[in-house]
Amino acid sequence: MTLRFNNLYSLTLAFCLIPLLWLLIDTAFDNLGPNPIQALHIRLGDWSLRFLWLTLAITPLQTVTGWRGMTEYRQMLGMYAFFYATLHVLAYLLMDHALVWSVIGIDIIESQYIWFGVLAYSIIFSLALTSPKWAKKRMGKNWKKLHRFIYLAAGAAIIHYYWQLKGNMAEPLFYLVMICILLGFRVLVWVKNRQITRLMIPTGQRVLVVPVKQFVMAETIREQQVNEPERLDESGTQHQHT
Amino acid sequence: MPKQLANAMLEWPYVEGLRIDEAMHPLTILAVGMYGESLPKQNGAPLRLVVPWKYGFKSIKAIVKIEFTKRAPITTWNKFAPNDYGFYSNVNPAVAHPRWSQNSERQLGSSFFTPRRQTELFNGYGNQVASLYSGMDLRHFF
Repeated sequence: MTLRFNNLYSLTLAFCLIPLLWLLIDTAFDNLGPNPIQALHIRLGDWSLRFLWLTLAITPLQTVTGWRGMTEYRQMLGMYAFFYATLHVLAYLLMDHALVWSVIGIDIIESQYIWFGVLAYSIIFSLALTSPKWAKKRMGKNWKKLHRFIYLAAGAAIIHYYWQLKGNMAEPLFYLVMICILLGFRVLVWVKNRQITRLMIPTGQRVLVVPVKQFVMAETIREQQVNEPERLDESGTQHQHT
Repeated sequence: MPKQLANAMLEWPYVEGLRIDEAMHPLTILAVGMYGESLPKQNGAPLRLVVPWKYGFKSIKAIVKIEFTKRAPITTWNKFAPNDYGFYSNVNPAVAHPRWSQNSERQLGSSFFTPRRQTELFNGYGNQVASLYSGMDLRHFF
C-alpha cells in the first residue's frame, strides 16, 4: 500500500515535467512557429495557469469524493504552478528581453495585463516560499491566512491571461468557466457552513456563546471536512511512508 | 486559407482602408510578387497591399475588391475593438495599446536572448511619411 502510494506520487511528479520536456523538444526541433520566443513564453504561462487550476481542484475533489490524503498532491501541483510561472517570468526577462531593464520597465508600466501577472506571481512566490512543513509550523495561524491568497492569485492570473488576448475565446472561456466552478464551490461550502453553524447555536443563547461560537464553528468545519483553505502544503498527518 | 471562414473571429470579408494620399504614397505598394517570384498564396496572392509604416494588419492580403468612398470606411479591426485599433494604425511607440506597450519590438528571425529593439515612429519611415500627418494629434488619430 505504502509502496503503491509512493509510486503514484513519483509518477505524478515525473508526469508534471512532460510539458517542459515537450517544450524543450519543440524548441530543439525548431517546432515553435514563426515567433519561437513568444510561443515558448506563452506555453510556459499556459502550463502555470493549468497547474494553478489543478491545485485549486484538489480540495473540491476531496470534498466530493470524500477521499483524503491528496494534500501532498496539492502541494506538488502548487509547486509546479510556481515552477512553470518562474520559467514563464524567466523567459520574459531573459529570452525575450535579454535583461535590458529600461525596455522591461517601460513594457511593464505600459502593459496593464502584466501588472496582474506580477501580482499573481508575487503571491505564488510567497506561497511557494512558505510551502515546506517547517515554514508552516513556524507561521502557525498566519500560514492559513497567507495561503488563502491563492484565490487572489487565481483571479489575477485569469485577468493577466484575458487582458493579453485579441480574440479566439474558446480555450480562454474554458479556463474562466473552470475557475468560476472551482471558486464558486468554495463560496457554496462557506455559505453552507455558516448555515450549519447558525443552526447549531440556539438563538436565545447567542449572547452567552459569543466566545464559544468560534470553537463551535471550528468543530463543524472539521466534521464536514469541507471548508479547508487552499494551501501548497499540509502538515504531517497524511504521511504514509512508515 | 482552409477553414479560415469557419474559425473566423472577425467579420468576413476583411476590410481595410487608406486615405487617398496614403494610398498614393510611393511607399505604398500593391504587390503581385516577392523576391523575384510571383506572390505565394500565404503572402496574399494574387494581390496584396503593403503599407510599411503601419501595423501589419493594414497590409491586407488577397484583395478581391477596391472601393473609393466619400467617408472613411469602418475597418475590420476598428469595428471589432474600436478602443484598441484605430483607422490609421501608424506604428507609433508613444501610443500604447490600451492593455499593452508598443514601445519595443522583436525583429523576426532574431534568436533567443537577443534584446528587443526600440520601435520607431512610422516604423522608421518618418522622413518619408510624417508630412502626411502634420498637425494631426496622433494620440487621437491612432
